[in-house]
Amino acid sequence: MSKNTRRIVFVLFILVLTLSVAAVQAQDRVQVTILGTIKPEIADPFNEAVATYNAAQDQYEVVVIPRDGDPVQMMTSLSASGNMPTITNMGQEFSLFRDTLCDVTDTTFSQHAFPGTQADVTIDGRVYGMPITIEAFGLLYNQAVLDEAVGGTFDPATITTRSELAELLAAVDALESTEAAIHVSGLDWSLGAHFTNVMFTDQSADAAERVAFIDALKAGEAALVENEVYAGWLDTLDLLLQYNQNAGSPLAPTYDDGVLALGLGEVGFWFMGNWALPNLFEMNPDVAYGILPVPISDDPATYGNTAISIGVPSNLVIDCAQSTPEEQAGAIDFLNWFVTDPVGQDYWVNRFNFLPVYDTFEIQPQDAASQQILQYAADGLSLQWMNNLYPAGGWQAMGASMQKYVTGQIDRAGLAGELEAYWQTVE
Amino acid sequence: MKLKRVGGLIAAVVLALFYLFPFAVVLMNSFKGRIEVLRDPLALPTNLDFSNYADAFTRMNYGTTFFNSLIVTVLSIMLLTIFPSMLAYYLARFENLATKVIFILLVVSMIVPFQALMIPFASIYGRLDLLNNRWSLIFFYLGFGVSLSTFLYHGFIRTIPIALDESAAIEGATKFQIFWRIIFPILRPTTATIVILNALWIWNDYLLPSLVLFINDRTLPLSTYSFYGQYTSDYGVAMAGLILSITPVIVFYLFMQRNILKGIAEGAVK
Amino acid sequence: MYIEKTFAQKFRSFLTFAAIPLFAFSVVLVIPFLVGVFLSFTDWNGIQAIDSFDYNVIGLSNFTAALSDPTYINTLVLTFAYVTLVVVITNVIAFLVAVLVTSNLPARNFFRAAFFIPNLIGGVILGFIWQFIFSTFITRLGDLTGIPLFQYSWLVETDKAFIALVIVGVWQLSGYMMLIYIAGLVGIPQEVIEASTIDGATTSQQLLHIKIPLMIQAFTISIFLTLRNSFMVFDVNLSLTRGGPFRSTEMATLHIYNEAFISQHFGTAQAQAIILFVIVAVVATTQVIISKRLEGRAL
Repeated sequence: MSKNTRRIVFVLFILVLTLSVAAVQAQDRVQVTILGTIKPEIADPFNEAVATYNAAQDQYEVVVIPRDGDPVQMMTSLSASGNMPTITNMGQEFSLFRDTLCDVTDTTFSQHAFPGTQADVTIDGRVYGMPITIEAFGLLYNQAVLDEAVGGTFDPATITTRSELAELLAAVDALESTEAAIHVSGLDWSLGAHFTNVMFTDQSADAAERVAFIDALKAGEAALVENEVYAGWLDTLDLLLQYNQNAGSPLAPTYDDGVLALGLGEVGFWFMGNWALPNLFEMNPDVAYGILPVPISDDPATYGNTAISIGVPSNLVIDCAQSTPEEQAGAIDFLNWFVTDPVGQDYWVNRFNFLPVYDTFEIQPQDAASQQILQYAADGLSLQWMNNLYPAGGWQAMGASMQKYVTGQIDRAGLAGELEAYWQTVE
Repeated sequence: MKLKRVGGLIAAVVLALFYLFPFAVVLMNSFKGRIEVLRDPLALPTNLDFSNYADAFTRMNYGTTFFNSLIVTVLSIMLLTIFPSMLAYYLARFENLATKVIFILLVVSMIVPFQALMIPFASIYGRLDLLNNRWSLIFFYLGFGVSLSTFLYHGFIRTIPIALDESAAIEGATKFQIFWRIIFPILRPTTATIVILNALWIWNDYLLPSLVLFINDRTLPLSTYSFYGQYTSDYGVAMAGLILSITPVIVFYLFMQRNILKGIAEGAVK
Repeated sequence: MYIEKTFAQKFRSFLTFAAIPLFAFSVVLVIPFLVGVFLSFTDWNGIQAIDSFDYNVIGLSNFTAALSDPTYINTLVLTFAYVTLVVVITNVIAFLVAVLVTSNLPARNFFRAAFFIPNLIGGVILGFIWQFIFSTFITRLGDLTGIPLFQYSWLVETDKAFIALVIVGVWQLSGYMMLIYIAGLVGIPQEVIEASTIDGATTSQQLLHIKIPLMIQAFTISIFLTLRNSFMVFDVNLSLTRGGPFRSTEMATLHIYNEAFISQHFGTAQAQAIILFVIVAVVATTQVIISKRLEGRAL
């Protein structure tokens, strides 16, 4: 062995030793595991928040299990192998795992949540999850482009019908500075989970009737071609497609292409949600963004024409089947930290870009679009996320049909047929 | 004859360009900023900026994961050389109903879709508390890799004349000695091929380690994928990460290529 | 061939040569697979502990559900088309390239490395790279050159997305198979070739009548491996097209994966995986039997 090799071996030896000592020391604290970083986009700030939390107290150590791959596959294999993380961020998977989750009704975060935000995770009056944020989708717009199009300051209250929207689209389209009026993402989740939501949620102002509509579809008793909302909804979609930046190949653009198009002002509109705001600000920090409803008729009074879809995308849940009571207590402590501690709140709002749904928050988001969304919510102009009621695999199936419609493979009747056929397979 | 050679050369160059150009694209864009990539993926980078690489290196925890991958790969390919070659010898030389059935079972197992046993596998070994460390993973690689390596060895062992074994047996060698002293050296070209194939499979494998190593001892593909997932829209950094994760294999291959070629040539002489 | 007389002798040879690898093989692969087969006859929900037995045996209903899923049948048809194309194209290219790089080509080591390099990279990463090429790169190329073929992303049109999958499959597999063909070509005894040269055989005659019959073994292995790999295609399918557009490029294994983890029908998915296994087993066994016959004739 040369001198250098020996030196390297020695250094490696010391390194291994230190690592094992560190590992042993860490054992003193209760390890609380969390699957992934809530969303991959906020991995860096989330890891930072975990480190801050771990340093701030000496009882618990939060460990992030890296999420590499399909989240449901990871949850399933971890659960089946007896290694379920203490905390998991769940959307539709909630229904599969609900028997294994902790009742968190009496925790601080649950007690301070805004009314209604926990509806998706409430079973028989008990709460089983922590909503992370509310998200809204609709027609995101670039304020600068729209100002130019209307020759002044654009006021979102002026758009309440499809024809008003059509005029505005024409004006944006006519601008020298733009390539087209709107960027429509052909992504299956955007079309299948979000755009379809407009049709389901606009069915009725009454929540029970909206559910009844879905039940009728399942029973094969609803004919979409005769449905007024369905027709109006597709009229609006056709309008958007007419002014679409990628009319030649509607499915081609990626999510990033949408960020680029709206951020750089190539278009005035993008059908997307507020989760895109951090990306848009990164692309162009000098522009203000806003969000418009998707009107489905020429009557301003039609339900949905002046409201945007607002909902809870996912919830943090705590495993009760495989975790120890100490781990569960640690998980609750960690989640409370975000809601009650000013440092945690700062991460939640300013670094994760979540819209807080807890009355404990001193810190509120400052940008125009976020405030606009909170205003819609405060005014009661929010539409239900019916997509939370879609069964597993639902948005994928409907997204595929929507993609066929958008590319002209099927017409309205064809789309109606596919959507009806899909719902009839649902038990 | 000369014309033919030129034609062959041109065909080879055209094909090689097709095989290599995706890497050029990745390499080119690994030096660019996010918006630069989106705007024009074809343009050459304006300057050789290694900050994407530095970024990817720390975020992927490159040092540690590289070391983990190395341990797992080296030990697994050693096991996957020793045991399958012996098994293949046994199956080829001790032919009876049992060995025939075993051989067919091995071949059939190669076409089991991993999806069919993935969850039961995780469930069994998770409940035995054998997940989350690299030593189990190495054992699992032996289990999953034994069939293909044995299959390849088997094919070549059958072409070795049995007279070789018999003359050694007359000199009093045991079967174990015959295998290691006489047969195994002849298998060298096959061994080189199998080492390469197994090394590539294990070094790049993602699905099995993702089931086994969810917290500890994470390997390079795992960190590449979770890293790529986070930065798919930051193409520059993501591509620097891809280059970092494939460079060790390319170096390994270029180093090994001489050995395989030599091995094949020697094998051919004998 | 050894003849072993006593049971003790047989047992000792078995212990020496076969016990350890067969143990690993059984506990790692065979047992989980058999458990998987068993679960396909139950209403197990995918997250229950297998030893909890909180689930019931429900007979064949997962299999009837699997076969009455029209998407699954479509994915099987698509998989067959894909397998046929990839197996044929890959082996033709791999063999020709192997002939090329074993001839007196300049810089042949460089070319061997170049053709093999796609194999150095894992499937998911390959998918990411090619996704970037077929969508972002190709459209930019279309902008610059005006060639209509490159105007739009290839991954959003049914036919082109399928072709893209075939291209990437061939691109990825052919280097591996080239290696096997090289081993076969180089393994042909030099004397045989020399003898035929003296007899006045041309290069192509040598190839057709001497080299190919003497390396049938390489064809057996290579075709078997391409069959297996293309039937099992998953990583690239997932990361390149994710089955899109509108699930038109979803192959069998991806469909099974989606059925399990997206639609959360674990029983059906498990049954579909087993049906796929049986299909591949039949196809591959037929191929191996035919090739072994040919080998026997050639030797």
